Amino acid sequence: MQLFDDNSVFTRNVGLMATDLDSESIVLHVKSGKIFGMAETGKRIWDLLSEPLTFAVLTQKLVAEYDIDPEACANDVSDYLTELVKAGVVDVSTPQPAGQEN
Amino acid sequence: MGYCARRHSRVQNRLKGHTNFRVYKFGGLNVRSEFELSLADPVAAKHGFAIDVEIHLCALDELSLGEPVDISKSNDFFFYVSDNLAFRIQNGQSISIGCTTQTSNSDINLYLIGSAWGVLCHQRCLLPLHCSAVTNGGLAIAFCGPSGMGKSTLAAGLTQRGFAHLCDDVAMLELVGDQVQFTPVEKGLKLWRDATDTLQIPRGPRVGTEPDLDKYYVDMPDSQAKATYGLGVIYILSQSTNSEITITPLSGIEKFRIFLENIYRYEWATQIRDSQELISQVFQLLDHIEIYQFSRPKNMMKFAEGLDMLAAHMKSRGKN
Repeated sequence: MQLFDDNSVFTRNVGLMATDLDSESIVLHVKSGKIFGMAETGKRIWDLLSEPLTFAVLTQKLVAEYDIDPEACANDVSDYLTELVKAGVVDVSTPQPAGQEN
Repeated sequence: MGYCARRHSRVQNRLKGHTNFRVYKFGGLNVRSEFELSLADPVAAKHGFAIDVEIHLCALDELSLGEPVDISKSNDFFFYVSDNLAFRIQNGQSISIGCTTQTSNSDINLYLIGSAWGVLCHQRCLLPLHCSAVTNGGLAIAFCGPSGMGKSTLAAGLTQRGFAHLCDDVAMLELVGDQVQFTPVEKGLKLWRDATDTLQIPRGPRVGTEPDLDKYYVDMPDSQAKATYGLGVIYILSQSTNSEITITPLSGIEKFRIFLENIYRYEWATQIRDSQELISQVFQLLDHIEIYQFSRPKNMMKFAEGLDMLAAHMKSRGKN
């Protein structure tokens, strides 16, 4: 099941420690002790998420930088973000459409 | 008879007269010890000399006995070795050795400068690395890897190719400016019987009393263990799946994981220290450390070839 859509906002989770080591980003989930290494495009996604971004903006940036097919990019990034969300590395929130706020 | 006098007489009886306090420089710290640190030289404690660590002897039943490893309080850590030996380490400043008439000095020494010292270092937020080391061009070259992978044998072999021995088992790492400082913990070189045979090194006293521990101290006359060095390179020893000998650089997540694995008593460190502070320290250190994997066949057939290759690599790194 798709956890998010184009308007979903991704942010780095709190409770992480991260550093750049050699050409990778190393991210430690402090509570679980799990360690993640991010290289190449994964690292670039992590770097871009230093500020909250919607899925649409994130994929647009990657398509422009890597000159790749938008649909393939969206599929790959969707899979990767799903992994990061499940691992607790990234949070996702989906704003309610206008008129549906409480 | 007062408490001190009773303890004194028991300890004297039990430990064959090792009851005088002496002051040592050990592992970069000033230590006042009731137990003789046979591998360290006593130093004269002048007026105003600050003692970092006190080491006391006491009867086993005088220690506060808890679980075999009691880590409920990180600054008051108890661990139990056997029915005759336990240690209590407090605030990074004191080590109490609980023993009986059956405890051998060699067992006390083995665990005092091993696990107990490791706990003390973690309480002081110092980072102990599980390694053997030699020196090359004024820099420390460390060898890490799982127990039995040949760290000590490799270091001993390199001394026969002109490198001075630095340490066996543990060294302290500290980032000073842009350089990682490497302070050996003087523990004496220990080799398995077959390694002494291969290297043709005379065996000294046996390391401990456990029947399966067929290990011996060996003399390293040119040891340079009493100084602090800049850290050059760390080599991680591993076993190759074929007969090849390779040296490959490690980076990123692989480098990070393998470094954590080689922090001395890391499993206790995560309980003793604030984990974020510990990981921050590791992140900072790793920015300044080169790590290579040295992979070779387990058998000794290619031992000499591996030493040659490693020595050449170390010398090439030392030119930087």
